[in-house]
Amino acid sequence: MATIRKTRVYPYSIDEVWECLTDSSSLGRWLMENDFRPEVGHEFCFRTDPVPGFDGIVYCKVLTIDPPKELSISWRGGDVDTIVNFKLTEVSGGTRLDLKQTGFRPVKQFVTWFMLSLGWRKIIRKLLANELDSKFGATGADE
Amino acid sequence: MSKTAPPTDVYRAIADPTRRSILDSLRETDQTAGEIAEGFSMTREAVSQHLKMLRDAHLIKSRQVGRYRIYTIDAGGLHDVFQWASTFSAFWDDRLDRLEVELANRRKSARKKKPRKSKN
Repeated sequence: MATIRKTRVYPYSIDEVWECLTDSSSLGRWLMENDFRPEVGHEFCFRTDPVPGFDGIVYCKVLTIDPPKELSISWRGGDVDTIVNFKLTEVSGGTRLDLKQTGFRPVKQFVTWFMLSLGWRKIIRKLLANELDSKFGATGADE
Repeated sequence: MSKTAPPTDVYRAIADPTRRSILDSLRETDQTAGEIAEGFSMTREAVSQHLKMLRDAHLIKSRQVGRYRIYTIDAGGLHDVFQWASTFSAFWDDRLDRLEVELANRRKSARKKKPRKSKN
């Protein structure tokens, strides 16, 4: 099992960030097209361009919702089965977003889709960033 | 021996615009070295060099069909490089950037709807 954590501070109010996390059309613009509704138990999908082997659909369900502080959804698609958690905290100068994705199993189809959608320039930048992270960020194991 | 290419090979392989174009063209359809060379108006030798680097980085693979060698994208190689965690990590980096843009745009359009006294 692996967990991904991301933290960002946005120079916007907690209500503005919450709106972007829970408004379907807003989510559609920054994350993916969807039929999200902010109700616990609501089942919905994120949809993106399909690629061979991945139909471009992520199946989700709202697990917890605590306005304007916390949103958890299940996230299944391609061959991953994960939970995505967003937490918002007011900080000086804006709002901190803590994102956590806990997941299982590899995800070849999603990888392929992501590679194709992101474009080479970004891929290179992110590959290098990840490589630097793994080299200098975490523990350096001798091989 | 590991089947996975060292990531530095992958960086080197995709750092070159011609090799990225080759990968792009292979995304659409499998091709022979000759067809690739035609598409890029390069010599066969130059193409061979590029294909070798891409193959060494496990970004493409080839199969022999009769007297032709057909090249195709090696999704497995890509996958080895992009472990699921690092892929999602890059995915969220990208999407959280877009969230910031969305926040800015929402505020802009909110201002338009509710105009304040303008200075000019």
